[in-house]
Amino acid sequence: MSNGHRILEFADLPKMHPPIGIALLHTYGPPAIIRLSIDPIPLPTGIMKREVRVDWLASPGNASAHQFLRDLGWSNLQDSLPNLKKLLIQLLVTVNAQELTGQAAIAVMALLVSDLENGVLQTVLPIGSGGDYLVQKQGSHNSKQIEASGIRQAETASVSLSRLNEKKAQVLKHSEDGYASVTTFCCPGNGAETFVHSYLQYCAKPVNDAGNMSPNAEIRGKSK
Amino acid sequence: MSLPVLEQDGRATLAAAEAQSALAAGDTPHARKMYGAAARLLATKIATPRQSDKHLFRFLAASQYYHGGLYRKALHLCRRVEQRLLPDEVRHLFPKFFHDVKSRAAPSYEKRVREELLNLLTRQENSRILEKLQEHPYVLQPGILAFLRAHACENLGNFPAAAIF
Repeated sequence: MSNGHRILEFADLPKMHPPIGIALLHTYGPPAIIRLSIDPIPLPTGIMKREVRVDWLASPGNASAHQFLRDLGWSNLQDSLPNLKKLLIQLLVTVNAQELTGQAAIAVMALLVSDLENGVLQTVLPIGSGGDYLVQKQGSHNSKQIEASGIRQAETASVSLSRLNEKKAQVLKHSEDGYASVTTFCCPGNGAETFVHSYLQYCAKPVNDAGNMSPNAEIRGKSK
Repeated sequence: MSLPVLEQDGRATLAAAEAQSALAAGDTPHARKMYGAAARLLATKIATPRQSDKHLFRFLAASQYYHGGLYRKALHLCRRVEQRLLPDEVRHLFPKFFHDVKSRAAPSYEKRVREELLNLLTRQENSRILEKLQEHPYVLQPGILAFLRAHACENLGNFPAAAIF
C-alpha cells in the first residue's frame, strides 16, 4: 500500500544514469537491498520498499536544507537481477560489512542525486585498497565530485551529521563545490523507533566580496 | 586542482562493476578478468598530458589490478606513481595502497595466507575464516574457496548460505 511518498525504484537506475546505470544496479543495488531490508533492521517478508528521511540541500546551496520522505523500492527486479535472493545471501558472506554499507550508500545516493539534482553519474570506481570510491556527477560544463558514505547503525543523530561535515570538508578541500551524501541505515528515533536517514547536500567554498572563492571562510551549506 | 573527467563512456566503471559482482558470487576467475579489463582501459589514459592526471590514472589502474588479484601488475604501476603529483583528493590513499600491494605481490604472500587459514580452520574460528576469505579471495582456487565458505557457514548455523556455496 502506498503511504503517499514518491517511490524511487532501484530498477530505474539504468534509466536515471545511462552511462553506468546497469553497473550501479547490479553492483550497488543488492547491497542497498540488504541494508534496507535485512541488516541492520529486517523487514517483514514481502515488503519491497523502505521509507527514508531525506535531508537535501540543493545546488547552489543558498537556501536552507529541506527535509522530506521518500520510499526506496526494489520491486520489478526479477528480469535484471534474476538471482537476487541467492546474491543477497552470498553478499553477506563474501563482502565485509563496512564495504557492503559503503556500496549500499552509493546506490541510495545514485537514486537521490537523480531525483533531486537531475544528476547523472559518470564514474564510480574503487580506488586504493580500502572501500574508497571516486564518484563523479556529469554536469552541464564540468563534472562534480560526490563524496558518498554509509553508516550501518548510528547510536545518535550526531554521528551522521559529523560524517556529513567530514565529507563536505573532503569535497571542498580542493574543489570549489560538489556534493556530500551520507546514508545511515539505522538511526535512533523516539523510543524503540528507528529509521533510515540520508543526506544529500551541495556544498561550495564561500565567495568573498570580490567574487572570488575565499579559501579560509566557513563552508557554505554547512549543516548544524 | 580538481579531478579530471575520469571517463566519458563509463566502460571502466562497467567492467569494474561486473568484476565486483563476480567477486561477490565467488567467481574469482571472472572477477580477475574484468578487473584486468578495467585496469587496461584506465591505463590507456596514462598518456594524458597533465602530470597529475597521469599519476591518477596509474593509481586507478593499479587499484583495479589489485582488486582483481593481479598484484604484480599493480606493483609495476605503483612503482611509477609519484605520490606528490597525485591530486590532493586521493593522495592520502596511496601510501597504504602501495604497502598493501607490495605485501601481496611478495612471493611469500599466498603461502602466508594459506597458513593463516589453516590455523583458523584448526581452531574452528569460522567467522574469522570468512573474514580472511573476504580479504584474500584470490589465494585459493574457486572450488576450494566455495567449499571453505560453505563449511564455515554450516558451522555457524547459516545453512542457506552453506547450501548456496
